[in-house]
Amino acid sequence: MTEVGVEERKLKVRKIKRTRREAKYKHYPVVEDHSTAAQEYWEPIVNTGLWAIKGYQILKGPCGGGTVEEALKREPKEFMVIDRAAFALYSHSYGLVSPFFRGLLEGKLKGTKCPKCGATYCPPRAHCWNPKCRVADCEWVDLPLTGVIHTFTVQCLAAAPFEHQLPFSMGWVKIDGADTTLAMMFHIPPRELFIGQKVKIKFVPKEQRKGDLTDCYAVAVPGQKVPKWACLQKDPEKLESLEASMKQTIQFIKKRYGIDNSPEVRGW
Amino acid sequence: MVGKRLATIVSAGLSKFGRREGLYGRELFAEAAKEAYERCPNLIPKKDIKALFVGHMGESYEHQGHTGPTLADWAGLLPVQATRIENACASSGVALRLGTSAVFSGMYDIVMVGGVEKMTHRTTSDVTEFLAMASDFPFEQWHGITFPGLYALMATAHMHRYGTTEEQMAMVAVKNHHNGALNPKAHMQKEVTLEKAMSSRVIAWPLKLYDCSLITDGASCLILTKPELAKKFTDTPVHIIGSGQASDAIGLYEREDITTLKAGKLAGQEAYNKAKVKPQDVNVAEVHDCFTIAEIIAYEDLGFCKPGKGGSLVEEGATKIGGKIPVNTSGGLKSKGHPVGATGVGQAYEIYLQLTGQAEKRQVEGAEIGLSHNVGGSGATATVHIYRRG
Repeated sequence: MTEVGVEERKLKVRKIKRTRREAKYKHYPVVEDHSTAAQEYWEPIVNTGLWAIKGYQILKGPCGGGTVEEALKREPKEFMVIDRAAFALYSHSYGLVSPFFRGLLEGKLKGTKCPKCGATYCPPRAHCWNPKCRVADCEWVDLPLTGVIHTFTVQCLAAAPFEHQLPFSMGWVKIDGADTTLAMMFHIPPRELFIGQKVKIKFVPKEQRKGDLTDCYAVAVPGQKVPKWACLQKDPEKLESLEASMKQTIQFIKKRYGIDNSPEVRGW
Repeated sequence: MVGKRLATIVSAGLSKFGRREGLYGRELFAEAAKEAYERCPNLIPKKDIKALFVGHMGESYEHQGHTGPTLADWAGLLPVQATRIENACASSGVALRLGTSAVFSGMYDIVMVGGVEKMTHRTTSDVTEFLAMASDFPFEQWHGITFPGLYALMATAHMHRYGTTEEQMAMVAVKNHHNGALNPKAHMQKEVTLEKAMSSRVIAWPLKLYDCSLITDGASCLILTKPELAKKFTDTPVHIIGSGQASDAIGLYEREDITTLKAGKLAGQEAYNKAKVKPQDVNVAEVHDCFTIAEIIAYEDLGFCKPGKGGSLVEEGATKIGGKIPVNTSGGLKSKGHPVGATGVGQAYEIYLQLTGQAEKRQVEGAEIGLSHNVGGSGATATVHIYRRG
């Protein structure tokens, strides 16, 4: 497509999107629109028939109940396995807690507070869960960018959208002043992680923020000594086996995605 | 004196669990239904069965929703009322509870309950993502957390508070693989050693490959009748005498205590109260060991030991076949496999075999009272059933 063609297409897509949305939600005018890129990505996929069946394989094998041995004695059957892409572009709302995600774009951490019982929620809840408060509407409060690790894990397997970031450590952080805990990625080497560790919340550069929790991460408050009772400090052999698994994962990600997630490159 | 009979299992069926390449999920259900019908020649399915309740978690696997009537059709039951129940991994446990309620309320005399899931044809990262849909969207799954990750968070906290060790978790895997090797319908019929389990690669520390249940295809079903009608169909009925279910916050981040599953504890208490039995009366149990730490937590929640002592219980060998309280004689989700929608009723199938003396090499001698414990997601749903030999 020529330069002009691309521009034309962008305009067209923007127009389609606007008209559709305005017709559908006439009482909800678009205040800010940052979804053109998603629409541009999506329109060609949905409009060029990628949903169709693209290929197939024929398999031959045992069938029916019972054990494998019993099944293998039966006449094998042929099966047709089809390949089809079933994509979806989900456009859905964060609902009443949307201000939390807008806050992330601005590098702020927001929570909600129940005006009746004073419970502070981060992640936010639009309504208080205390039965005595009868689903009271909560108020927004700004929270500090500090907290404490409540529990943690080091993941060497992740769902497709996060696979390229492996291996990563994450866990729950109790933000200072909040009563619940927030999921957080840790930019802390696993051998230095422990429950009760004080952390600071940092944000990725503004242009990389998308308005979801991956916009922020936690780093250790400097000067803390890793206690001897920390789960990962008790047995050096287990720490070694974890680090061996992490190394394997780093190699796998390098091979599959061409991304180098080694600590030397990432800095944690 | 044990509690009132709520409903009676007169027959049960289970497809072979495993990688069932080439087949459709609904065909697996037909396989399970066929076994249930064969066990019960006096039953005329289409005439006698009045309702079907099935557990099925994800339409994403086969791009097939509306599973209730589909499975009724494939089991030869049209036009009975058919309902799909979705409570993540507890789907068919909840289906069993609803089937029991339907019979106990007097609405129907005979119902079928079951579950199905076809998962192995999708890649592991796809399956991990579909399963993660059972966790909270904005604050958990869209932060890279997976189910191994969520249970790992619980495991870290359990280790921190109670000193549970990675070895104790691996012992759960060793025990369940030992039992699974005796089960001809299990997915992974092979034993593992403690060294092998301990040295397998980390999935989400502290959980390793052998701490995680399997991605499996499978289907399960039971036929429930009013207790008074059971004699007409079988000489070896199994009565459901207790049933409990509870819910908790979907996000692990809002739980009061992550070293226990509150919903599991409450569901257990409800079932024990209804059945009028105590944890020490249970002769055989199937618990939801989606991860080895989950089995350890289940021991504690169900009162088989005190909080924090689950690790030592497995270390002592009390939960082996022949121990004080054999747990997961089928191999559990760990070795028999975990087709999420089929799991709850699959556990009930094993208890049915145990209480009717049909469990062959893994038979628990003289088992009178059985228990099954099925958890959805990271514990937002839990359901417990208690069974008595008829």
